[in-house]
Parts: sequence; structure tokens; C-alpha cells
Amino acid sequence: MELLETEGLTKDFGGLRAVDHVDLVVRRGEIHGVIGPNGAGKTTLFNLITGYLRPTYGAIHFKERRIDGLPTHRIVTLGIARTFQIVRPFTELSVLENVLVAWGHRYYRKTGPFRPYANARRRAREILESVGLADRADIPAGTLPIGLQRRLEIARAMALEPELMLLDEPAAGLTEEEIGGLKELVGRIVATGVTVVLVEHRMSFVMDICEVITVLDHGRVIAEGAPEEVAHDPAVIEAYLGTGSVNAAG
Amino acid sequence: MTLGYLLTVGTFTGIFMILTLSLNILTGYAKQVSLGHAAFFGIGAYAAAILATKFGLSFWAALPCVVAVTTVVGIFLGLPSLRVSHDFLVLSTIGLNFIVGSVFKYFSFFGGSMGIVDIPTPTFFGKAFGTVGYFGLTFAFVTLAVLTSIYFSRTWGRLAMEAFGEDETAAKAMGINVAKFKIYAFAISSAYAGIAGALWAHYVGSVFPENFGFDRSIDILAMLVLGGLGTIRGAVFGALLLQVLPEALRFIQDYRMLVSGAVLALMMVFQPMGLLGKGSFLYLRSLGILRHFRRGVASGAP
Ligand SMILES: Nc1ncnc2c1ncn2[C@@H]1O[C@H](COP(=O)(O)OP(=O)(O)OP(=O)(O)O)[C@@H](O)[C@H]1O
Ligand SMILES: [Mg+2]
Repeated sequence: MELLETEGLTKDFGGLRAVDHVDLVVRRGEIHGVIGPNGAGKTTLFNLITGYLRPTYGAIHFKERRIDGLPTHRIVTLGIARTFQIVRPFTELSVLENVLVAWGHRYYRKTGPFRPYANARRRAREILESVGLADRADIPAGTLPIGLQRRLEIARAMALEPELMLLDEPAAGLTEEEIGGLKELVGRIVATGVTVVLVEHRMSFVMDICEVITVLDHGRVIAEGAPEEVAHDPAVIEAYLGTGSVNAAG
Repeated sequence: MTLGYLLTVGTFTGIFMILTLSLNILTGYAKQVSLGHAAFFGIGAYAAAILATKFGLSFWAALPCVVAVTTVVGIFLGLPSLRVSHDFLVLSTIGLNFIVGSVFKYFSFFGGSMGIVDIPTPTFFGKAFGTVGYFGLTFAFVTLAVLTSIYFSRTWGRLAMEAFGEDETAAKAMGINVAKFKIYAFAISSAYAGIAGALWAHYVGSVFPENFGFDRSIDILAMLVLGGLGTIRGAVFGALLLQVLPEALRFIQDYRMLVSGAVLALMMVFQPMGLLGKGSFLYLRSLGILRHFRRGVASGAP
């Protein structure tokens, strides 16, 4: 079995089928893109994998273990980290404390909560250095500009030391220059052995760094394969042209 | 103003410091706004009163039981927080005052509206505490509460509470079991409140349902908000200010409820971080002055 496998994963919201029998297979070490027009079900897919939503049907296996139905905090400790499409920093905590909260995931059980966190500060600072936020470590996270808040999302995900990282539109709202930095950062994360699933609208970004791409439309997988294959798939071009949002071949 | 009077004011102030430190865990860190904290205080006081008068336990022998009872009931009373959103939690904690008050009032086991009287003064090696001794005893517990609070503020637990207090969805993604930590917050907070209740019961010598009503809950919250939510210095300072000021300004005393209510409302509008809280005007000023001072020393200025 591969690192992550979903089988017939389906989610209904009332009469709306947001995710429709999705069989997603993510292999260890790959950068796996998930693309699709607005409302295709990409974020819902992440919410299912991370336990924020219960599937209507289907199963999710991570490291051969069935994880659907587990609470989010358990799934996180099993090794899946995610970022949020709409960033969610703890605005009143400092940038450093945000990373510490994530680093603490291994201490939130048994007597861990009653132990001091001072010793972890150095490690948290190293993580901030590696994403270029070290000089802002002590300011409230809410005062960071959006580009840096997205970096903080990734820094927290790194602090969780996951095996699988789900990034939900990490490039949204970034400048071209910032996207260059993000590519480099994702590359470094993958180099440490982390598997990445990337939801993105910026097509050039996805085409550039992903080895495999899954295309969703109306909750269904309409294509899957290497970037060049997917880009020339008639169904994909149709889906994008249909909504007029993105040029898939771009 | 006699020394005895000052010590009495001091003892009550100490008891309220323990209560604001208690509320600081629950509302300052975990952001579970409680307008029912006097209920937890009352459970501690009644537990102490009953253990002393009906079971003949000494203050010291009863104290661990008081803390245990208050913690267990506190966890139970905190369960609604697992189901309701912040706004509704505020409402349900208001309800706690009346539920707990009614239980004290209408069950004869708790003495009814006549309360429980003749609670003995604690002894220490056979000697009863006098006014000075009790002041010392109270401040020994205040010191304990401050030190344990400082310790807790440096733990993973405090970080987790502040995280889910601000954003439960994001906290879950950090591996935090939000339900468990809410229960921890109620448990720790109740334990402190239990100690405050025991100190009150044995000092005053009697407990009545009215001692632990909604108005008292407002007092406690107003103290914490005035001093600064989420800070230990704020909790201590707020209790000091709101407990001592009305004593100093006699004419305010009849308007206690008005003062607490007004403090709460005005602080929320104009200085939600409190006088000494993170980011508050006074705190930032004092940091600035301190930095100025340090720079002066460092540069070897005269
Ligand atoms: N909690 C919810 N309740 C009801 N409907 C929902 C909920 N979450 C998502 N939806 C609906 O499910 C569909 C898929 O939404 P989703 O957010 O997964 O799309 P997406 O692919 O992430 O889109 P985008 O690119 O805009 O982020 C949409 O029609 C959306 O309105
Ligand atoms: Mg989305």
C-alpha cells in the first residue's frame, strides 16, 4: 500500500456532492498536485483527509492504517500536517510561539502539557530561520503581511515534522518573487523526506514542481498523470475552459 | 484604621488574588469566558464548611478533599463548553451561579438560606490562627498560587490553551485535543477556586448562598479584566485595585456592583488588554521606561 490512499471517497453537503468517489494515491516522496476549478472539492478533500469532515462514503488509509473517523489531533500525531487556504495564524501569539504550538504536538499527551517549553525555543527558531522569518520571531503573528503569514503556515507544518504535508494554495496572493522562494522552500521540505500534496491555482507553479497531478472537477477525478499529459488532456482543457478561470496549458 | 482592619482587608484581597489567578487560566488563557466563577468559589467554600462542621475534619485534612471536590464538580460544570460556542458558554456560565446558588439554598444538607455557621478557625500545631496568622496563611497560599501560575505559564499546556482559545480549528491542526484541554482548564481553574473557597469559609466562619452569587462572579471577572487578561501580574494587580480601592473610598462601597460593572464595560471598550496586559498602554509605557533605563545603564551614563 502507498503512503496515502483514498477509496471511493465521497462527501455530500445536503444535495451537493462536493467530493465524488475519489481514489487518490499518494506515493512516498512525491510532490502530488491537486488542481481543479473553483468549487471542485479540493479543500473538502483536505478536510476529509485531516478529519475535519467525516466522509459520506469511502475510506482513507495512511501508512496502511484506516484514519477516516479519527479526530484531527490524532491524524496530526500520526504524521499528516496541513496548511489552510485562508491562513489561520494565532494572531495574538508571537511568530515564535505559533511555531512552538506546532512543535508541542508531541507534548500534548500524558504529563507533557505540564512540562515547560523553554528548551524547544532553539529548535523553533531554527525552523523560523529556514523559512526566513527569524527576524520577526517576537512580533504578534497577526501583524505579519499576508505573504509572510503563508510562510508561517508552512513553518508550523514543518514543526509538526509530518510524513505527509498538505498545502492548500500556498502561492495564493504571493508575488512572482515570493513564489520563487516558495518553490525553493517546498523543494527543501521534500528533500528532507516529506511527501507533499499541493493544491494550487497557479498553473505554472504546479506544472513546475509536481511529479503527478490529479485534476478534480465537480468533486470527480477527471484526469491524472504527469504534468504534460494532464495539460493536454481534452477533459481538463474542457473543464477549465468551461469555467473560463484558468488556462490549463499555461 | 487599626492593624486588624488592614489585615482583614489584606486577607480578603489575597483570597481574591487566588480567584483572579484561577480565572486567568480559564478565561485569560483558554478564553472560556466565565460569568459564573463565584459558583466554583462557592463550591470550595461549602465543601470546606461541610467537611469542617459535619465531618469534623481540620482545615488541613479537609483541604485536599476540598480541592478534589471542587475540581471534579468544576470538570462536570465545564462539560457544556465542549458543546456550545463562546457566546453560549457565557450564557451557560451565568446560569451556573443560579443553579449552584439554588442547590445551596434549597437543600437542607447545605444549610438552606440559613447557611452553615460556626466553621472553626484553622489551627497550626494546636494553635489557632489569629488575624495576623490568617493573613500569613492566606499569603502563603497566594504565593503558592502565583508560583504555580508562573510555572504553568511556561508549559506546553498554556501554549495549547492560548492556541485553541483563539482558534479551535487551527489548534486541532497543531495536534491539540481541544476537548481535553478545555477540561484541563476547568479542572485547574476549579482547584485554585477551591482553595480560595476554603480560605474564605474558615476566615469568615460562615457561608451563605448570597456570598457566591452572580454579582461576585462579575467582581472577579472585572478584577481580571482590569488588571489584564492572560497575565499573572494583571490578575494580582486587578484584585488588589478593586478590593482595596472601595475600602479606601468608603462612598464607593454601596455601589460595588456599579463599579465592577462599569470597570468591565469601560475596559472592554477602551483597554481590552487591561491596565497591565500584553499590549496595554501602561505595560508598553513601562517597557519603554525600562528600556530607556537599561540603555542608560549600559551606556554608562551618569
Ligand atoms: N462546509 C460546507 N458546507 C456546505 N458546502 C460546502 C462546505 N464546504 C464546501 N462546500 C461546497 O463544496 C464544494 C467544494 O468546495 P471546496 O472548498 O472543496 O472547493 P475548492 O476546490 O477548494 O475550491 P477553491 O478553489 O475555490 O478553493 C463547493 O461547492 C462548496 O460550496
Ligand atoms: Mg479550496
